[in-house]
Amino acid sequence: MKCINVVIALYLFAVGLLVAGCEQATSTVGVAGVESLEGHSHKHGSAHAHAHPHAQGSPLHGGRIVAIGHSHHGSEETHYHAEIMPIVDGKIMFHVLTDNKAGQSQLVRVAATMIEAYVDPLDKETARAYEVVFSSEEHDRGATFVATVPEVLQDCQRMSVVVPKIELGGQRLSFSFTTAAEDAPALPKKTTGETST
Amino acid sequence: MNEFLLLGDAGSPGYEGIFTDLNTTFWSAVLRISQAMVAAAPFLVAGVFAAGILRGMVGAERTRRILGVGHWSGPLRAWGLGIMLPICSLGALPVARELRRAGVPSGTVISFVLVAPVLNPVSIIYGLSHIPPIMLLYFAAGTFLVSVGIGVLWNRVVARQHDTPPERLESAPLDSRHRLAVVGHTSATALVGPALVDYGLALLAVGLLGAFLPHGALQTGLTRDNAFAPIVMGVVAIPVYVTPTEVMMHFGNIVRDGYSLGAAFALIVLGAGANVGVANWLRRDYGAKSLALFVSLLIGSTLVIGLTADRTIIHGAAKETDHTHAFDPFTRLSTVYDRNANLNWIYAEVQKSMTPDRVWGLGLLCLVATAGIGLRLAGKHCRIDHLLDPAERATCSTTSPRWDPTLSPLQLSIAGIFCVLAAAWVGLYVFYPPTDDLIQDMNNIRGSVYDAVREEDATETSRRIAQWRAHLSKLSISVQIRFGRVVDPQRASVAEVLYSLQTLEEYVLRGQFREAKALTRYVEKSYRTCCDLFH
Repeated sequence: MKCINVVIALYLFAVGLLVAGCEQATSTVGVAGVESLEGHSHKHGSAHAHAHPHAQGSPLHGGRIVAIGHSHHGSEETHYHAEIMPIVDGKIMFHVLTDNKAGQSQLVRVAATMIEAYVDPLDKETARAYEVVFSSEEHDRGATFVATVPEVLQDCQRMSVVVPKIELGGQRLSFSFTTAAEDAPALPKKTTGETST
Repeated sequence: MNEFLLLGDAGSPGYEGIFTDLNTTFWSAVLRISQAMVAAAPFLVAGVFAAGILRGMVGAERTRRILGVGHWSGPLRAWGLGIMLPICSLGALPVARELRRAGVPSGTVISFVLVAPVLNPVSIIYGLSHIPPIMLLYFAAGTFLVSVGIGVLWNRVVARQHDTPPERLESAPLDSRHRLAVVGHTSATALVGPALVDYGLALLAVGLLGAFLPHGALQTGLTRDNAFAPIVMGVVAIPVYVTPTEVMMHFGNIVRDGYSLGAAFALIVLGAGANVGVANWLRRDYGAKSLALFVSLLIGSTLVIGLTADRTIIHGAAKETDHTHAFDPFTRLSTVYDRNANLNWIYAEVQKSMTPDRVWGLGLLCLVATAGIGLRLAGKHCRIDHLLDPAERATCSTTSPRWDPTLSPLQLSIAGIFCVLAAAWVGLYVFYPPTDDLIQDMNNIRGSVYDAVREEDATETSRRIAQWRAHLSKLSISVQIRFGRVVDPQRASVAEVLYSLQTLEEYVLRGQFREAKALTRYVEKSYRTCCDLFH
């Protein structure tokens, strides 16, 4: 009888291992956020959900501020923004900013020199995304990124841009924004399509 | 009435030529029967060997003790025995015959026959890789209620009146060679005995379904909001033969695609658990009246549990306009062209579904069947009845030769541990399928994710992404256990796809579908890179 007990226990243990094994997924860092003017609430992929207000930052180059997200350093948080510039000469440009202790914006050096993004012409009814690559204006650890509008979209005045991944403060963050050519009608101060994660 | 139209949609192409296109009718039937035979082979072999072991090694007395003969808990114990044997509904028949030979009440045998093909080590491990564990648990509980409930009722109503005690209670031989002889003889003759008629009837039913159930009849309508879905599936599932692994695959597809859980349950219990062969066995031994009681109890309880599942578990995003190909293997083919109407084509089609377990199973089945025919022809020259005589056992010497030592409990335990570890290792391979299979599944899910994003359906997108994620998380482990090593770029690519899916889901949940549609290109790019690295 003891033998049967041992066998059953081992069998259950083996099945348990299998079940536990199936739940192991590679963890990804990232946050899901809904932006508001005051701040945002979000649920971290790893553990906790919370809401915390933070400054919107102020533009340094006369562009429009879009929140990117934040990274944690112990109990400290660093918030990141993108300053979106109008489309000039078929180029889309943004600067990466953060807030200093006084709450003023300053440029952030980004390790990556190229950032992948997807551009969707808002002038057209149906969504069709084109891949673009933002390159750092500086050779290393730049804060300003520029991409050339794809040739097929040269006539488009307004575009939606999604940046699926930018690494800041050890976190992978995603954000989206809309931008327009300089001579296009002004974009509203806040568009529903601009969010960060 | 629309709910029934899935079986009567006479305007659909599947119904064209159903009585006039004899080529399609005949060769569809032949193909379905051949496919069922090949799929059943490994489980049928397991069944006949289990029957042989019960008779030659466990013995009638111990079998009766294990299954609590004379005690109310018999069906409960039969359920426990059933979930330990990897057999199908055809493989359960020879085991059932041995249980009856040992004098186990027929209700207890019915409990075993209903549960063993549905819940067994192979199907449970296979199911865990296709179905959320909680869903599997729910249906395991449902199967328990149906099989044990019917067993208890049958023991009270039918078995007491109709069961006849065995003329002579056999006793397993003490000598190892005699034991092996009994195991071999019982296994071989089980395939060509009275059960052969039951197997033939079960396969004939599969063929008739393959010949006359119109192609595409089950592609639509089996949705959760269709109250008749479990009934329709129940009608189709009774003549269907499904192996334990296939039923879990179908169950997984139904759950994944959001179709009726009631229909899934009907397929499990009535398709995998019972078949025409089981019904014929009950008719032969207990008469038409008892068979009618069994069928009504089985269908009634299955439909009650199935309908309850559809009404209680919030699940199922499939709409009436959706369609699935999950049940196409039960139906007639759309067309068999003249050039294909021959055995060569059948062979080529069956060859496509050949896996190593089926090749081995089929080989062993042929071997055992040939031995069985030889033993039947030899008749009384090769009888083993005298070895099972209790008087023979009393005169047998208990000393063992050197090459066949008696094992101590500790040695038996160690052997048991090794067996369990080996079974767990096999289970691991089943639970983490080969990368090609995983990628094939993910390709299908990927299409559904993109469709859901295009249709701006956040709930469906999240559900599909969860499935994609579950498959993706198995990729690295699958490579690890097969090749011993996963390189960093492979791990990084999996992490990248997981991140891209998480990002896509976040945009979808916020209702930013325009951005989400753009992001599908990012997901696709990450996924392609990952597939290239794992291929």
